[in-house]
Amino acid sequence: MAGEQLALTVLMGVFLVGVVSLVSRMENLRAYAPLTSGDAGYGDSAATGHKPSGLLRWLTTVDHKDIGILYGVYATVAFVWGGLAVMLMRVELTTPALDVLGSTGVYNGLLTSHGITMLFLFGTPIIAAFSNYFIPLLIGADDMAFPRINGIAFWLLPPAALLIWAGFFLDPLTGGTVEAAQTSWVMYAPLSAEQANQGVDLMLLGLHLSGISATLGAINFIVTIFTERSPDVNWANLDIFSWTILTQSALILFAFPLLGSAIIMLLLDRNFQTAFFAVNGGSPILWQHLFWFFGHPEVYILVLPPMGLVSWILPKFSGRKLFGYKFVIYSTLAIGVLSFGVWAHHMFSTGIDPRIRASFMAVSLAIAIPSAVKTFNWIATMWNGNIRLTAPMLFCIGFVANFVIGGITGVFLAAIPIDLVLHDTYYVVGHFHWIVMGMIAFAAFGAIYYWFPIVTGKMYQKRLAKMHFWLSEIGVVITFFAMLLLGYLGMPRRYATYEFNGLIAPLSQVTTLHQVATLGAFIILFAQIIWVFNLVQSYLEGPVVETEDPWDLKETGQYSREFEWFAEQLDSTDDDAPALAADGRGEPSDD
Amino acid sequence: MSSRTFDRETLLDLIVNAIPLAMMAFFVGVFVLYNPFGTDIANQAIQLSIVVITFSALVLLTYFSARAISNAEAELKADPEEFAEPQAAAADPSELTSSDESHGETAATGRDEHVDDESVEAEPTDEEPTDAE
Ligand code: HEM
Ligand SMILES: [Cu+2]
Repeated sequence: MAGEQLALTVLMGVFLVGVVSLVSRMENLRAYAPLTSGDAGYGDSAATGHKPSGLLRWLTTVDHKDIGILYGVYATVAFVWGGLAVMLMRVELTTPALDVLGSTGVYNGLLTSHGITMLFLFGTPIIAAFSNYFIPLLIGADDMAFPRINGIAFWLLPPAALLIWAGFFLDPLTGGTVEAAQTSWVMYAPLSAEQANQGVDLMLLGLHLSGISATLGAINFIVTIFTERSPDVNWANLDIFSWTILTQSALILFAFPLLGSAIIMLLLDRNFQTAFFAVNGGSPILWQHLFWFFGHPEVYILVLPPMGLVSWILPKFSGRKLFGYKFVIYSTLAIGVLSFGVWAHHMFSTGIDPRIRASFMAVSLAIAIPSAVKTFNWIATMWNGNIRLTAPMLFCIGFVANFVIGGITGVFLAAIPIDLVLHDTYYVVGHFHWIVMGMIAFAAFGAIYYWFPIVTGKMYQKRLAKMHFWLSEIGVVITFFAMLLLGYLGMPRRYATYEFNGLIAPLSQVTTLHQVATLGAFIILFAQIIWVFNLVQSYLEGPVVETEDPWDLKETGQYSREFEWFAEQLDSTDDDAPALAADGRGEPSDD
Repeated sequence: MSSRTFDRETLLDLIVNAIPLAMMAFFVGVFVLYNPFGTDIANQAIQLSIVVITFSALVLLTYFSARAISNAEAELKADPEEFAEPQAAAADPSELTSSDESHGETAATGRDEHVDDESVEAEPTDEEPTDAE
């Protein structure tokens, strides 16, 4: 049985490789790139020269900078949605009984929405915000290789969000026949296949759309970085953020189509009586394999670009160049490859063959090396540097610190015997939140502050930004340490209540730790309110940035391309200085 | 490029990927020599192929990226005027390759000896070790 499957798989693999080589022989793919060489010269290109004003501009734009801003706003909205969902859950968890939300179904719906929203609607888009805005600037390209596809990729996302959240809106309208999906973000069969609720179908369609969007974006970035670089940028001086986006795009290209296919199979199971994942005749474990073959690369899709952002920003405030630029590149590439060989570390306790399990442990331990190397690079960059604790730098340092804990807890989980104890406890939740909140969100905040002057032409309020950092870091430490401890005590994840008896876990300690975690979550919430206030207030009323070098980068020779571009914008809008709004170009007034 | 595929500096940079490769090779050895789970050809084939395929993919990617990067460095070195400043820190300011005088003079801060350490693995292609170390 296993032998036949193996033979079939190998045959299929050979066939696919054959198809790829045939296609690449027949077609000269390079011929599809519209502009074969990039050159500096912003604003000359026809695509970005004339923009309509007002709302129409934002609806029709194909300018990479505008699209970057759209991604950023979109991600922020999603962040608010996901954040409010989790606050409701945290409040529910302050007591063991079900006191607040009224039904466990509501909790499950919020849990699902929180996970999917944060990963697919906040994480990926916030990264796309930076890459869209800054990659063309950093590599000296006119725009993305395919500006219109860039626009399409963004505009697939709002309908995706509506579909993913649809259950919440339709519940009151349909009197409860369609509810929010309660599958959790991993959508394990048979649960996901058997829930009759049509909210699940809508969510799956939404996820599919967001996957298409990510894939289009990835293709665009790969082509842009390969073909649109300015002639003076080659592989040896390509900036580190572009390297991580390139790797991320390759991961997306291999991972997301697979998620799309798996989702289609699940939709077929749900609506057309197929039995891919059915308990009888199909295989629920097949779902897990497909999902995690996508799912593990997905976590690196989310974390590599933030690592790139930190590798880019941290040296600017250390007064030194990034230590071991090429170490960072090679380790990024290594993570990219290895992340496809570790997926079953999420399935150690499912009863898969112990030999296979051992292999996945081996590769999971190997992937820890390139991850750890980066940490040492960042520390070495700061070592003896001239460190300036600006808000972006604080977030970078917080990022490194949080990665130490998030990464090491991951290595523990990769060891089979430890995982069998900790799997599906709050320890896992703690592990990945140190990473997704402590790293991905932190890098995003740092980058937002760092580039705020370029994007808005204004400066943010520095005191508030520092408060934002300190409260966030304190909140993260409180919340997610409590979660690691809860995991050690054996508190299982994904439950709305925990009225269990003392044999499972000591109830009073568990309750206290849950309350501590909720307290931390409120601190994080408060910090984010400061953040949003600061951004909006500073965008509207902040001091106009008149210098082309707001971070004093010239002193240490780290003045870079995106600020050169900013300087050009300052020059060209000299006479009407305040017109430097939104995308940094003088333009028909839209406010 | 030199007659050998990679020069010493590039090989040094590649250590970072050699370690995970060595770990995977080690585990392949362990799995071949030590098998407490009994014989099952199909599952053992899967077991080994997971590590071997990942290993080979990493070897290939490392090889091609290293080749691309060291060729690019050779280009940088051959024609410094044509290129933007290299990302890797340069030890000696005179070696800076900058297309733009606005950055340049002080790319490496020269603040302390660590900058020199860095150059060992970060300097654009030099066949002969420059200084320090
Ligand atoms: C040092 C490298 C890492 C290792 C070895 C590692 C290992 C693991 C393992 C073994 C699990 C499964 C635990 C279980 O369910 O029993 C896990 C879960 C998880 N990890 Fe990591 N991890 C690493 C880095 C990361 C990174 C960088 C991210 C995110 C960007 C991440 C995100 C996650 C998520 C989201 C889960 C939970 C998935 C779920 O069950 O919902 N991990 N990690
Ligand atoms: Cu994983």
